[in-house]
Amino acid sequence: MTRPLARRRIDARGVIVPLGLSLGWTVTSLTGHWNPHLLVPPAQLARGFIATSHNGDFWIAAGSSLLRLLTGWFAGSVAGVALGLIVGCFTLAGQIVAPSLNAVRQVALFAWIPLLTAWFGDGNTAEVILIALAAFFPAALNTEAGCRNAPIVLREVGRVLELGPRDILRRIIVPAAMPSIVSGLQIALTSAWIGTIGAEYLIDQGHGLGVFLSSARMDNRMDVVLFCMVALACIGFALSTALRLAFATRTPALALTAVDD
Amino acid sequence: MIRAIPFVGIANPSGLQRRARSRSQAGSIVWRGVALGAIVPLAVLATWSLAVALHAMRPQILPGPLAVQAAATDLLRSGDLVTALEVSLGRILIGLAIGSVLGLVAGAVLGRSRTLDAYFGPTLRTICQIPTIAWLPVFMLIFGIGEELKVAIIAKAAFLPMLLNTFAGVRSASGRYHEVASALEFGPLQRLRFVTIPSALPMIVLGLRLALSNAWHVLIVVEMLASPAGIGHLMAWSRTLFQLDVVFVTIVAIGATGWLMDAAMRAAERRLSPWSLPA
Repeated sequence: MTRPLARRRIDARGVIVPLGLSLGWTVTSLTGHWNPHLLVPPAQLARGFIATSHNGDFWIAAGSSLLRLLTGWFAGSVAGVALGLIVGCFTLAGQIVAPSLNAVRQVALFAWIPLLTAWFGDGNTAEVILIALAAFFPAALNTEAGCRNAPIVLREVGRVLELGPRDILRRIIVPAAMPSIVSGLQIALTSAWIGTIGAEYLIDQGHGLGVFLSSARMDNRMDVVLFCMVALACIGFALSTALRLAFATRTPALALTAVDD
Repeated sequence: MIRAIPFVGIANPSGLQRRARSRSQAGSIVWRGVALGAIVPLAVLATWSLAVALHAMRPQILPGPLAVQAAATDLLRSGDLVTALEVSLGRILIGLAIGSVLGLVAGAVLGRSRTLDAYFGPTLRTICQIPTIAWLPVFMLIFGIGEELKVAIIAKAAFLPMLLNTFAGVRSASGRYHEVASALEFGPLQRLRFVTIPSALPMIVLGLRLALSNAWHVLIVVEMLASPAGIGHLMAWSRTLFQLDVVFVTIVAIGATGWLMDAAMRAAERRLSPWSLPA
């Protein structure tokens, strides 16, 4: 019990490097040898951070990004988990769908943007579809792997108990695949968040953190760009933590996987 | 890291079963797999042809299969596609070389020295939390939109997977193997040669594979945003001109190149690390 506690305590040595870096930053920017647009003086950086955090446009952008992310993630995850269950449970479906999915998966995510914008316009629809696509593959892959790895012993128990296919799916395969599905949903969320920022940044229309970031870069505002970067890292971290906590409290089914080991 | 697991399907007969079957049966299983796998692509092709034949969508929005094929022949004959790919792969090569060597060195050093890890580890791990795409605007402000930008962003994309995997590989070598090395009174070089490198190599090769895949994805974004050449540029430019047939060809080219690079890396993985050490 003492070890995890001891590990959780912050090692003070880790603070030295960031402190040294910020000291170096301060000194170099004060001497003014470097381009002040790039190496923003700390005072200006702080002012930029405070100004941006009081900027209503920033919060509108963050809100729309978040909404877009959740819509796309939800759609992509539902589709991915559904397909993963089918592919993972039925041999024939796997043989039919897996090669095509593998082929489509090889295309870099953002390479779909030109096609999506041509079909759905430079707006929200194309962005949400791209985000859903980003979430779809990890969700589908992990669900399929979870179903495939459901212990054969348990399936046989189901057969011995003469459970119908629906009961085998609901009481045996899904609980056994649950940890894998949950981690798939987590990866899907991270992937969807990257997709959100990238899609907004590339399409550059409407509201969104990516659009905000892009215009801050156009204005040569390093302080605002850095603020956005910190903000989207924090949002990503907060979302995945929230998801982990949400699932951690209610997955008693995890005990089943011990059989497999 | 997301793309490491392949879609297998429980269909794949296990090695044991396959060996037990006669050769002709194994052949028919392969053909069955090919035939089943072809259903979806053929259905898509049929729907696509039908939609084009019925003029369901304007040809600018949905070019027909023949138009796409003609565009592919044109691009191959004029050499535009090959030139674009050469430019992109050249960038990947330089960026990957820089980023993965730096990542390898950093990962090995931090893996070996717990003191240095205590100083630099937390900072590096915090930076890991920020996706590469979020660094793009910062890099654009620092490096402009020239060739340095592409190399820098690819190097950044390659650095982290390489660092993390090398680190994990070097750390996993600890324990029993080091005890054996001590018992045999190995010097530091022998220890590196017989313990650290063999046990870290599988992870390092995996890191390189992830680095390459990351680099390819990021490069496409950078080239679409700011580049006068490369496959991403070809795609974005054709989209601007509304030549969707060319866009289709570039999508296939991007997928095929990504697949080929990954297949090459997987082959290298098998060649370089046929052993697997249970740590």
